[in-house]
Amino acid sequence: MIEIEGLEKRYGDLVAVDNIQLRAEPGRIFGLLGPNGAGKSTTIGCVSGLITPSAGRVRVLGHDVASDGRAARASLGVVPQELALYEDLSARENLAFWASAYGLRGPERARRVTEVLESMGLADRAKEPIKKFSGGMKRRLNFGCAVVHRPKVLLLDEPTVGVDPQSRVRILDLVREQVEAGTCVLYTTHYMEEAETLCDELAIIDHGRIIAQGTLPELRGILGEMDVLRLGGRFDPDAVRTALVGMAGVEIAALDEENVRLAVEAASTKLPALFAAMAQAGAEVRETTLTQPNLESLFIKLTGKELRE
Amino acid sequence: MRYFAAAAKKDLARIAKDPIALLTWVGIPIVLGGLMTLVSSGGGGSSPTAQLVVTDLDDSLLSGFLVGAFGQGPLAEMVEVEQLELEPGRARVDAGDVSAQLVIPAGFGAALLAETPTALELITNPAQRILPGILEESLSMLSEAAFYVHRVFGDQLRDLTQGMDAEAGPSSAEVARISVAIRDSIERLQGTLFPPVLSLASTTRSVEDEQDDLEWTFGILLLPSVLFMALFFVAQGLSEDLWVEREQGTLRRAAIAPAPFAQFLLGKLGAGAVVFAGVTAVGLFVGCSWHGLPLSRLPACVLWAALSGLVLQLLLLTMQSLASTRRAGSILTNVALFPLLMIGGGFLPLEALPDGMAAIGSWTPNGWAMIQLKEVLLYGRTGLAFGGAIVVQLAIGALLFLVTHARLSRSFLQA
Ligand SMILES: Nc1ncnc2c1ncn2[C@@H]1O[C@H](COP(=O)(O)OP(=O)(O)OP(=O)(O)O)[C@@H](O)[C@H]1O
Ligand SMILES: [Mg+2]
Repeated sequence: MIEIEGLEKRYGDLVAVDNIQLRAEPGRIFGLLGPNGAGKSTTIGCVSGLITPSAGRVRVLGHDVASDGRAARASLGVVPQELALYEDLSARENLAFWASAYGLRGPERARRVTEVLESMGLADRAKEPIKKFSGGMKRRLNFGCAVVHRPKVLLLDEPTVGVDPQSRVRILDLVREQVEAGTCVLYTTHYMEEAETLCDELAIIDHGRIIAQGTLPELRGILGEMDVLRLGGRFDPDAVRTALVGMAGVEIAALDEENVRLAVEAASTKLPALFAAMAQAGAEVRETTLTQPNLESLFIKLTGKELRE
Repeated sequence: MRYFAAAAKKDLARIAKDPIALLTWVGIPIVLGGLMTLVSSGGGGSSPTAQLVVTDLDDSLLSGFLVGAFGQGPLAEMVEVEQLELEPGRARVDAGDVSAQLVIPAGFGAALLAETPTALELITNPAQRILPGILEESLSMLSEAAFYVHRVFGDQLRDLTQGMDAEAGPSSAEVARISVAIRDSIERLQGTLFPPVLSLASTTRSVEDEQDDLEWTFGILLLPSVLFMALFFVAQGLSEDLWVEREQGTLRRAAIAPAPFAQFLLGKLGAGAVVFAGVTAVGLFVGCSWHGLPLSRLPACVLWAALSGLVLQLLLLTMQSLASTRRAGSILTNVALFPLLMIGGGFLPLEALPDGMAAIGSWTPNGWAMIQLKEVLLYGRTGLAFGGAIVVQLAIGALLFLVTHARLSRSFLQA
């Protein structure tokens, strides 16, 4: 279990993490979803003990990271965003070394290393120096090094970035396996599909702050049954605003001369009326996209911008 | 402590996967020492004179230095230099008038600065054997010297040459600063490398001790120097590993593991200890056998030399951990390394250095350690003083360890 209370990290004037509060439970995946620079890695760093927070406290399985660091770290497995491997050693040597850093030894260590090699699909290349590995293979080994000691709490910082689709599926399966075994997982990502399919609970983070938090259904509830309608073309913002302002179940998320983003309740029934209103406002619509409610639309609704911008 | 063992094993495995690096660190001092021994033993009074024709097609500062070096110190006595154009020079060799013709190609100086390969051409007289041999040895020694100038001032030299390509060129202050630095270094090399080699035969320390009637030849005195040069190079190479670990992210992973970070760092020293012990054991065994020194002194000598290597490794690790970038770390350690080697008797024995320099040198960490080594190696003294010296080494090592550990577990990691 991870408990984070009032966590804050400042770098000079920059507030990288701003009053974060969350609680991740065993046997569940807690997702931190946010764009680049949102403060995901900084949060993970504070949990792993690598970064000293400016304020707040973090507990792992009840052990305070600041005052009882050794015990907190003993139950953690960390998959860092950047690879952290010995390039000139083999996969087996890497795993064996990190296993001993977490207190495994002797035959137990050897057994565990073999197990992980197999589950990572690296058993047949275990003896090669890993500098000969592909990016995806290194990512899998990076993951393996974090779980070789069977941690009760697992921190994953964008483990699928830059990975081919096959390795990605494999890594996500491996995460689910860990969770089934009762591990508590904190998972950061900026892929909303990943967050949607993988996570039991989610916090959406932007500029160091959590802007929405809950289970997937709860988050969908915030959004209501709103679909997202994106229109591209040429618009007169004032005229569009006047034309739409009276329509029930339509909210303007963003509006400028070339783009309109609307949150629309039961959009399929309202489309004809909407287009009629747009035509009246003198709008020239060249492109239309309608999206079912998802995390992306929630993010757009909350921040007015897209996750990947 | 099992984690310490695992960390040491891991670092040894990594060192073993790059044997070329290790061979270079150890090989350069051996080659250099061997050449110095050869040149010095050939430098007796009755040495014959070689006639050398030099054709300098480059006509740069560096080619000038090369030609000039033949007129310095012991080489001046062995080599008579005459500068001639290509054709007339060749004719002299063909006629058998001179031992050899040295051709310095155009662009030699620039290539040396840019570290691109360049070759000197030595055309030897087929009728003569020994004299051209001396010339060849001298030449390779000089190119070693160029190598060292390069290691000390390589960065400045490159900056300068890059500056020259730019429109404005380097500022005159820059040129002045670099020229002075280069000149100092060349003077140091000339001043310490050549005349002492010559004067050595007369300045070897007289042994008034009760010990055997061994006469300390240049070779014996050089043995500890070569050994310490190798220890220094190995230590520097090992200290750079800190940056490798940081860049590949493993240092951070180690910092968040529950096992004590101190043991991770100690593992580096453990691996270092094995390398140092190996290098000194082989080096001293060969050296002692060659020079007829009693092998019973070997264990104490290996212990001492390996311990000294560890303290040097810690010293350089501390410097690396204080630097903010890998480049800064490399400059810092190089700037410390070469002067320390120079005055601390690493290139030439302290006995062969001018008195003032030797006095200062005996206070450098490596100079002091080398004096202790000689006490054991040459005189077999392993009494109370030796024990005291070990305690001193351990204390210095522990202090350096604490500094490095503190740096590594805080600021060094965050950047
Ligand atoms: N050591 C540091 N010094 C100064 N600023 C930092 C430092 N580390 C991170 N930051 C800043 O803190 C903010 C949060 O960074 P962080 O790495 O946590 O973002 P992230 O959500 O992990 O982003 P990404 O998806 O790109 O990995 C960024 O604005 C970043 O520039
Ligand atoms: Mg990040």
